[in-house]
Amino acid sequence: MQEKAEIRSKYWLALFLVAAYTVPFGIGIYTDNVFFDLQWLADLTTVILNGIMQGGVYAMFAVGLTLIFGVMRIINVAHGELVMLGAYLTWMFFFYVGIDPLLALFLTLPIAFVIGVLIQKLLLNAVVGGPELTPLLITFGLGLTIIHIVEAIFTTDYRTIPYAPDALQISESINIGRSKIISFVMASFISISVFFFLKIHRIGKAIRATAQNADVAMVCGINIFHIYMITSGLAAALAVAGGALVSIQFGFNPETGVLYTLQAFAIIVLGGRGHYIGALIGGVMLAVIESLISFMIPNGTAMVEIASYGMMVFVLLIRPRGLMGPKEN
Amino acid sequence: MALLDLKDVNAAYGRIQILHDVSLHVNEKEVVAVIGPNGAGKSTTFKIIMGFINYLGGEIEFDSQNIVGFRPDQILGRGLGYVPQGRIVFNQMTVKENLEMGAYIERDQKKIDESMDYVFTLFPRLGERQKQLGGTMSGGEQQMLAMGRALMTRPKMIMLDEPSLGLSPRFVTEVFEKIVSLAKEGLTIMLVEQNAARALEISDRGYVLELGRNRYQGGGHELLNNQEVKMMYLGGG
Repeated sequence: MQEKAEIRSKYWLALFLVAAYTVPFGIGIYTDNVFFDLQWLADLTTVILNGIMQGGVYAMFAVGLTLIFGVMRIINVAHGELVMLGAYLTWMFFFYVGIDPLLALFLTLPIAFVIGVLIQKLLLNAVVGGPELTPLLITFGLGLTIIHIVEAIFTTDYRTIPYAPDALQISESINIGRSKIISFVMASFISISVFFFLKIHRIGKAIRATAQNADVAMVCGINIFHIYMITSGLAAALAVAGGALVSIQFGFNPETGVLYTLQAFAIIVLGGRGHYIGALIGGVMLAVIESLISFMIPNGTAMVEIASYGMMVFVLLIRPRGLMGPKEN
Repeated sequence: MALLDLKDVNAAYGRIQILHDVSLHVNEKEVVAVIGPNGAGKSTTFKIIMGFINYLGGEIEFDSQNIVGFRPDQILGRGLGYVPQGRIVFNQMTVKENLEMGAYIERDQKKIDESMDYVFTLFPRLGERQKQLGGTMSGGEQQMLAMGRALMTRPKMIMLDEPSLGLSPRFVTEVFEKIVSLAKEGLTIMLVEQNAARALEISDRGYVLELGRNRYQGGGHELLNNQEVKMMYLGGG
């Protein structure tokens, strides 16, 4: 019986995703935004490529969120604020010290790791394993605190980092911003490194083991609080790397972090909470549908948000474990 | 001389006291069974040794050292391994990775490889299925994997919590055969079993716990033939 319901939910999810990807085209045709000529197809390709590039970056910081959830069952709503913090750190290094935003990663990532470890030690260790609401509220408070501290220092003005603004000509009518490509390549590199760290390294394996069964991990002599610290540090580093990579593409202010938190949630729900590859696939899928919507639907910006979070709600209804998440108990 | 020695141990889950002045010891190279009805505090005895539940008092010594307050990795490092109840393995990890996790506290890759070979000779089926995911194995195989994992640090002693629970008769026999052969190699073993008769048969000595207190103790066969023990715990006289 359960097996059957399981398979049915998989088909429903697939059907839903196909429908979700078709809707923008439908509306586009209805509103005369779709033309079947070469120029339009080239534009469409550009849009999809852009979506994939964007998705790679979103996926990377969503992985951080999914790691924390997988290992500690903590819903960290301050994750986006760390992304925002990453953008500001990069911006500071760029304007005050004159360090290239990508080279700055060598400085920002260790700083981020330490921030993650401190958050774990000072806040999360006290509440991990308890009722789920407490850590949620703690990270909620932490997020707001970070926002207002940054606001106090930098005001709410938007900042930008002028970096690699030119576009790369891929074919005659397809071109993509160079900063986008750089971001995507960096994000892929970081995601793949983390993937192999989890797959091969002794501590990476222990992180997976703790996520699967913390009690047995302890029996194996794994100090799970040590693992929690490394996980938090890693998650913070992924968020800050994400911040660095979005900062060279978009403007940001202290409140942009909230959007990234929501985005990351939509991604890990779609991909499956706690699942690494799921988060990567979810990130790309979400970004692609977002760019399709803004490409084909007039007044697309509002629609983009509706689609992302609508999708999150529907996935939770149809199949709470998402594309690849582990079975719910 | 006693390798593991518990004296008047009191322990609690949260605020509910489960163990009341439990004393037992396991000599080197001995097999000791702890039996008793449900709720007797058998598994709890293991958990308090590992430091997983609240310690209220008493002495716990391993290898002539007080291990109260030690972390699990420190206890493991002293040479005491533990296989929890329920054949719990890391479901999404391969057999090989499961075993590697068993050797987490060991940093010397050569030693890890040696232990891995040792476990594979002990449980050839694990060797054949190194790449299989733990969660996809049968109950009996998972029990072997959990035991193999506990042996990866080459402990002096292991504690087995209900190793035959929920296994098919064929695997129950196999698990008990493995325990006997491990004992022959000189490993000290303490096991908790609901399959009391079977456990006492292979044990040098046994303890009967009831409601968290010592009730009987004696040689394995002595307990098997004890009328009262027979009546109450071994299913009739």
